[in-house]
Amino acid sequence: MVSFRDAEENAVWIRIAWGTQYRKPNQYKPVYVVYYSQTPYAFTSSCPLRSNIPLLGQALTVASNHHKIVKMDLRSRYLDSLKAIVFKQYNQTFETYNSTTPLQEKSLELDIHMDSRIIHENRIEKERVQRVTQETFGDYSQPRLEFAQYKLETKFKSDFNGDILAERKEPLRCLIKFSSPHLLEALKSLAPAGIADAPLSPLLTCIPNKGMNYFKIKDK
Amino acid sequence: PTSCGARGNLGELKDYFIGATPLQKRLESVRKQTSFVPTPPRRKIPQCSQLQEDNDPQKVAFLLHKQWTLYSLTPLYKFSYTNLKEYASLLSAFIAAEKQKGLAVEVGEDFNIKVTFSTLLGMKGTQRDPEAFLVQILSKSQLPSENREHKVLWTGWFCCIFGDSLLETVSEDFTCVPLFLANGAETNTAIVGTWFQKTFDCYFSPLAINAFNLSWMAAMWTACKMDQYMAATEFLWSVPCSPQSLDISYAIHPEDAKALWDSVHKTPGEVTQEEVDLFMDCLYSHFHRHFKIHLSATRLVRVSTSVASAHTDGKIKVSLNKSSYVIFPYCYIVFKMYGICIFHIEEAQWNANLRQ
Repeated sequence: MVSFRDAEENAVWIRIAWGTQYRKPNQYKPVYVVYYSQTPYAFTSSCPLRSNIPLLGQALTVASNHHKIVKMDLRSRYLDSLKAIVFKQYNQTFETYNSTTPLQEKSLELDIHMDSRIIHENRIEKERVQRVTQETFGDYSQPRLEFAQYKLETKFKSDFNGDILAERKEPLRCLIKFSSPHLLEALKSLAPAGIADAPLSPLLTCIPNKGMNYFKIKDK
Repeated sequence: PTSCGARGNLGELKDYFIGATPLQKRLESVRKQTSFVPTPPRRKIPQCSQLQEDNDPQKVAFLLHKQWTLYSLTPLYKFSYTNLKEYASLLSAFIAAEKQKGLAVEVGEDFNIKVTFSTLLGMKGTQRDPEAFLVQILSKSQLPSENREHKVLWTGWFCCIFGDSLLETVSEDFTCVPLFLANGAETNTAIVGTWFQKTFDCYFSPLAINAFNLSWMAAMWTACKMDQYMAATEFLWSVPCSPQSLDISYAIHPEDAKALWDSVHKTPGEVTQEEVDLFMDCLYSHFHRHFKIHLSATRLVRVSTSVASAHTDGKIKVSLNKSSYVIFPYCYIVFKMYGICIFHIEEAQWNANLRQ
């Protein structure tokens, strides 16, 4: 059973309840699809029955007059964030602030009335980290994602211990998962906190640009 | 106590303790939650020992596939292994009384419960260690028609492994079983704990496993040779960033983890501090190469391997794969003073009885 609702401009909400020829559609486990008619994108909620997914894909393709549907490696609980990433709307700065504010005052949070004998060590490095982080992530609030997953199949290479796993031809098979209530904000705070280098790895910073949060990485 | 050199000045407190007795030093380290004995830089990978012969495989099987919460326990005053039956009925009455007070609200039905105390042979490090013992709360079915099978509601066991340094300090009236492991509802753990505290004048405190010990466990469990790996070697770090928390889970294929360990491991039969550090450093550097994040600056919270898993909150689970013919009969607890325990599994042959 399918029902439609027009939501905000260009968005159609579709609710699908699945049944079989013997059973009535199950209204308690529907799948929702949000389709933006002016764009080639549709967002679907998780489908309880995996076997229905290709059918859903086919139906959407035909109904929207496209010829192919491709699943993106992007998943989140926040539809607005997914929209922001996919439609590249996340990098708009909504606040108006004076962008010529000197960076030092903002980032180092030093009270200028403080005792002048107290200094910030590594001031230059801290400023560099702040600047690089801002260039990478921007000043806007990040779209909200809860996790990023990386399936790595890369060889082990160590800087300091050359002979560890030197003979091993096979890569290390790793699965790395980052989870957070607000992943991109958390990643943004890592370099200023000293937990990560700046610039952060492109594997992480590319998430909004590439519109992916599931990756498979192999050695080239 | 030695003559007091501390005149209200904290700086002199250190001098005061130089002359203190071993017991005082231990109490001080308990209070400060530090380890009195420096970590041994190497630990032997334990081999089959005489202890295994005393082992009852049936009894040890209960250890597997359950999550245990660890507590450390001060010595029990006037505890006797000959009074186990009496303790069982006293604890049973206590639990019943508590339930009537409405403190322990478990299942809807009014179960009759039965408590058992039994010794657990072989779960100790040296012959000097006191015997481990097991306490179980079982439910008895009310209906006479039903099979009178007892369902285990809660299990706790007390043990002492390599407690030599402890045993030296306590007098004869005390029984040292410093490690307590519980599985089952927390309300039951609390009731049993209260009864023990009242009866034997002891004190329980939750045992946290710090990142240092978790790394050791991860290395030792990865070092265990398995015929079949069922699970990845997985680490979980919690990143102290604000305002949002971040968890990083890093799972490696168990064969690759073992290959890395084998490449790092140099001394046969022993695991050294350098090897553990190097193993962890390799993992950190592989991660850093890809993500530019320093995992060493974050907090290791959980390690999990095919053999066992441990969480910093003091929770441990031993997983064994029955189809693997090299399985682990034995949980060794290496005890470090009053607070810190390392739990590692020893590789040895199972008794044929257990291969089912």
